[in-house]
Amino acid sequence: MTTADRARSALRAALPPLAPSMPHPGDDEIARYHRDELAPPDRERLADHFVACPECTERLLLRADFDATETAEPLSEFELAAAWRAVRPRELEPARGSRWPLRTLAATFLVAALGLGIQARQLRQEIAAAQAPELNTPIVDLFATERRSSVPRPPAPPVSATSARLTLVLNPERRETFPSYELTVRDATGEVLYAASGLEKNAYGSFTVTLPRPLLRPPHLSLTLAGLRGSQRETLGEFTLELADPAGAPGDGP
Amino acid sequence: MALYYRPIVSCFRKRGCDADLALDLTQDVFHRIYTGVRSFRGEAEFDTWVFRIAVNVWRQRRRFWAAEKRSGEEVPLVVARGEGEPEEPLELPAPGPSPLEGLLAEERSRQLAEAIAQLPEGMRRCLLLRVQQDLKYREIAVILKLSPETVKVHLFKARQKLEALLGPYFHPGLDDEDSP
Repeated sequence: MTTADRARSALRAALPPLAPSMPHPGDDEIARYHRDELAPPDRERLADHFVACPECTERLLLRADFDATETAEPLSEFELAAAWRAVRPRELEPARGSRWPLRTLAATFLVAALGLGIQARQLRQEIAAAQAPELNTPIVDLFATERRSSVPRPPAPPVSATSARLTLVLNPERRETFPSYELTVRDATGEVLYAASGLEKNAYGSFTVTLPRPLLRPPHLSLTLAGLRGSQRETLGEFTLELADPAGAPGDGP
Repeated sequence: MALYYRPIVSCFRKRGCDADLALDLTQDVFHRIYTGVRSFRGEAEFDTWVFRIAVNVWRQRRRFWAAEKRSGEEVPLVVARGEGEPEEPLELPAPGPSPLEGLLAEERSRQLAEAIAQLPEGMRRCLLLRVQQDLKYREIAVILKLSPETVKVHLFKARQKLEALLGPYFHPGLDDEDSP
């Protein structure tokens, strides 16, 4: 210990203890004091406080060093690497827990992708089956219900169609020619199962349409054939079709 | 990070930390910034918030050092009588000054406080910062917004005044800077 140290120690021991005259200033206030942004009375008040408060003095000196360091120059690669080296692993640790939503999302996408893959495969199989040639496709001749005739035509027997497609030959009651024709297929409840325009009359004055079997709901279907001329629509014939239920309805039994 | 890296490292280096420790503490600061940035509500400037974290890290480090010092091994003071005989605790004189010394110290303290109170404001502040907080000229200059030379002059004049006011009670060496 030097003479000066001893002298200061003796004086320090002789002086009354430090007693800060005001509550400790905040970091913002200390920063403003250091930047000389305070009004003179506040500046004096803080200067007195610093004289009596080693803790705030230390904060002010830290602030001064903090502000004095040159930051205009970009960090060197070494400085950046050094700054990140220990931060990165520590930063990742707490983040590990918060990654579970990402993992859940990834798992969901994986399951969805698998599901879509399976569905796409089934669709491809269905398309292939629909495009494949089919032997012995049933052909059903349907005659329009004759409204004007006193002797009704007996209804066609139920069709037991287990094939993928069913070809219908529609023989309308009226034979007028229209630019275009429209067909509507309804089930027993009246719900439209299929509707399409663009039918063409063949050389025998009848119409041929091939429908996929899954579209047709047994046991009872009604079909309406209409002629179209501009906005005009005229019904050319009503047809009924009885289908045997493949699960064991009439016509399927022994 | 690029903005605050150097100021924070510099703060720790200027407080006697070696390069590795300064880097460790800086990384601790950045880690706290990363983990606590969501709690930053914008009530203070971001700059101040970062600075507060650096101050807390520094205080924590100082507490750690203080705790390290306190955790030294305790050795009982005993008087060894001889082999096989029980040891007796060493009797020490009561610490502290005698009543007469205490009285003189109180008187010295009162006279010193009165003399210091008579000093001009700037001089008084320089003196107290130098004596009570053991600060360097440069640090006193930062705190009081003066140049180090002015601080030196204030301390020199304070010494002269105290010498005149206190006479034999005054200790020399007040305005000697141990280190530049």
